Amino acid sequence: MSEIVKLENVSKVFRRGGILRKESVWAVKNASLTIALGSRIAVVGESGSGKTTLARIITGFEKPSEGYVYWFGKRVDELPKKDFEKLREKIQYVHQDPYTSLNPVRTVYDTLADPLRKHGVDNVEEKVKELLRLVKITPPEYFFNKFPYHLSGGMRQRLAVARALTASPQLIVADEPISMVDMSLRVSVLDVLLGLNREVGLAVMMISHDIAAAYYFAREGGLLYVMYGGRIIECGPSEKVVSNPFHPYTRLLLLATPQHKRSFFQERISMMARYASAKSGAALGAGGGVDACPYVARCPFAAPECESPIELKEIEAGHYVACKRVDALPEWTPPPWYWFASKRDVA
Amino acid sequence: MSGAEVIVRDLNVVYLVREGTIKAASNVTLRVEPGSVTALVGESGSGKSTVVEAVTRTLPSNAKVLGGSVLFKGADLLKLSEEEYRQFRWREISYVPQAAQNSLNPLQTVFEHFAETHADVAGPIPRSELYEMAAKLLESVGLDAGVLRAYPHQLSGGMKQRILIALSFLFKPSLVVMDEPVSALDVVNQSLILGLISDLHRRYGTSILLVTHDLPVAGELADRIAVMYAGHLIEMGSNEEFFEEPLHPYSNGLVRSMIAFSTELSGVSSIPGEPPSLLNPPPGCRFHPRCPRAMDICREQEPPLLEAGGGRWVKCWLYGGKA
Amino acid sequence: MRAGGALRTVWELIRPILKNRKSVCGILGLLFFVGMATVGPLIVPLQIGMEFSRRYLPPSLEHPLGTDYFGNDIFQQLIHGTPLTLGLAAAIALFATLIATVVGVASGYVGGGAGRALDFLTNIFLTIPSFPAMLILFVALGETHWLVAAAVMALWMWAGAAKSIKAAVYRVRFAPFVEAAENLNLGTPHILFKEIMPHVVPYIFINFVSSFRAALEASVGLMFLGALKYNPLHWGVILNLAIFQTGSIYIARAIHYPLSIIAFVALLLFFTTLLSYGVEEAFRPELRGYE
Repeated sequence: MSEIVKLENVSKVFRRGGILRKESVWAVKNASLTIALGSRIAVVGESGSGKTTLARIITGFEKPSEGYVYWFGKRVDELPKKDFEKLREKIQYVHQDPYTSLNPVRTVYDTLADPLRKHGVDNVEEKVKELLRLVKITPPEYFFNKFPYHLSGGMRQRLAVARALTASPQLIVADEPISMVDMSLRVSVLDVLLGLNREVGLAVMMISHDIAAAYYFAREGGLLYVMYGGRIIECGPSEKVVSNPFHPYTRLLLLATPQHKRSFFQERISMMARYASAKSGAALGAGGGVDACPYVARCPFAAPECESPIELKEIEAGHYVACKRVDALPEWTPPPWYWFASKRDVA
Repeated sequence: MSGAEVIVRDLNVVYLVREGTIKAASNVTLRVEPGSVTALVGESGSGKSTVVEAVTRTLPSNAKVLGGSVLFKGADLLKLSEEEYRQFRWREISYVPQAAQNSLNPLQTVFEHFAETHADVAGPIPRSELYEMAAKLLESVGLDAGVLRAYPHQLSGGMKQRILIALSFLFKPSLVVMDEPVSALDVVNQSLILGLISDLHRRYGTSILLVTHDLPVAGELADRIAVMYAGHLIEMGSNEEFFEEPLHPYSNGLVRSMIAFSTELSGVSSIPGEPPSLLNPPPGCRFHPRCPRAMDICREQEPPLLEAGGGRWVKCWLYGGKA
Repeated sequence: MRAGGALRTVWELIRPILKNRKSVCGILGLLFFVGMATVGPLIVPLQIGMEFSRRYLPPSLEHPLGTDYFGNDIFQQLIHGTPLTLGLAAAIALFATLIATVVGVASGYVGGGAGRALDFLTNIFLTIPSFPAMLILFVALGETHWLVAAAVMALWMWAGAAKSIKAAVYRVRFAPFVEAAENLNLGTPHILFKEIMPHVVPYIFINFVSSFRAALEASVGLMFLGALKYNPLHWGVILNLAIFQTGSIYIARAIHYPLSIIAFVALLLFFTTLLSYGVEEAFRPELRGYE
């Protein structure tokens, strides 16, 4: 079984409202994906795109309203409680906020020792040291008696990853692992996750709103998924998605990501303007029927055919996009500020 | 209207808490050149918000200014009485605080916000006149005049931020201070607002002090970049020179930790260690525990702010100075 | 590592209390009363007799609080009444807090139908006015052992505390670190006792102290009204004697008799309230004004 998780046409709806009027919000719609052993995946989307809900469905914290979730080939909704718990351990969810994902009254040692003891590990102290070294919290002994509030955001996040490792998982799903971490400490968190994937062979999925960070994580062999309005609208090898994006939202996202050179700023804004309509600053979820493309309200290239259901189609090897208007888009040239300003694959 | 110069000199601010005093800003000296966009960059705990709150006189009650001066238009802002400072507020200096969207009054319409602000500063004016003024300002920030009738909860985050920026230009001040104007927004809105700030700057020529933790944002907008670390102002210089060759080892580490499409990603790295507590900061240079080039003197004495030629300043023993 | 860890956790829980001015004041005051209850009866003799010639003597060195209707020393009586007065209130508070903890934690953790049922039960006990209910019950029950009386009184004092404890549990029940513990299959006992309870214990403690205060008021009140089994040592009974039986409040020179009893009760309540405010401030920093 080389597949850890498989999602088959998964949708999740949240119903809000009172007695008279119920509102349905489709947080995720028709999502299908496979996470293979040892794979590396980045999922990018803005707030409200459904990326966190997707992550929680993958890790079993939410049940899908439609579609099926498979863990190691077995249907999750058919698993008896004991099996569910056993398999869940192998798929670990790392929360976004390292300030609330660690219990403030447990020391660093306890945070790791508790699950280790539960799993019947023999030399708990040695194993704790080993895990702390793995996530580069050194010297391990110095941190044994420290509480989370003694650690910086980056360290807490790495400790949360270490805790996830106590169950020897096959997959770690990290939800926005760096958004609450200072810039100068972000690379250390991402490098720990990369190390776990490249050296230990763990499958790691990273959720982010920052496409540059997602690219950093997924480059050289990883996959990049772009979500909008609950749907996967583009996916493929990360170099292909970033250097040759097809969906107008993906292009907008790439052009909207700040780069640091002042000389390119005006050009970036005017390039962005071609993919932004007057409604681009508007809130998510406005307009369009349930089955229409979720981006139709903000898309400058929207046409009547966008009201009908969309689906992912392969547009080049391994690269999929869900858009009916790809042929109407202007020619894409990689922005001049890309340090790898070339249209070819960089791999 | 054009921008004015601001000089912060040897600013020392502490916070009094149960455990002791937090040395939030120590010996901070920086200059905002007239009509320039100066970015004050720093990570959490760097003291950048403290400096800005001192300049705009919005420090919380447990903060104490131990020394220093803020020179602006011939006056030391720190020494003015509340009455005297009121003459500057909104008229000469306006302030867009962090998470400013939350500072809109949920019970007032946008128009009422304009009316109240105007009345506070220059007395009330006829509604039609104010309406025209407000509509024009809203147009300059890309909003329709119809927004004036809306309540804050009816507007998106991006729209609220634009309204606050519009309000800050109501009296065409010579200095606008913005604390993290885009960090609460999604990427698309961020870029739109950054474009807006750039436009307004070109149009009005006002000086802008932009506080941000996001280095790429500073890179795209600023003429000059000033960096703070652990309560110290450690480097100041022009935008391009700063990125080309950061002088201070911390600046260097910061630039190398940027993840953006404009940087070579195989070369990025984090700064090892973590920022110090400001309750008991390390002696000497506050960066020395993490500095790859720390010398003995760095552990003992705080370096002075040294001139490094061409309008660049750096607070580091590597660039000279005498003990 | 583990034993040291438990002790350290307890110390970490207690330390904020010791740092708070109000609670330290309260503790010192209460220590005085506890001393009165434990050591007092051993040092101070109890000389009960009838010496009308020494009736209503004002406070002096020999009689620190003066004498009562029968010429007996008031101070001695109060000292000897302390163990029962404090003990009864403490027993009530203990029972009440126990019930509140069990119900509060259960309804906060379990949720669903059972949780709602417990909420309903809590609300019933919360809305029935406790003092009149206790009065009626005791008059109906007649004489009972003091522990039974304590349990009956506790029945009317647990509801408010249960609500507060439930809220504390509820606050952390869905915290990310609890989810992480579930992800790792740490099991319900571990999650309840090691992850959730440390956040709840401060509220249990706060509620114990306020229950003690309320229990003191209620028990003194009930004793005073004669609703509980007569025991001449209890301060409430002494107060009853002072006011109803001997009418000393109507006699100018005898005013020290009821006043000294009331003063003792008031002082004890004062220190207990101080402690309860201090403990609340210590565990809920948002209540501290001066920070």
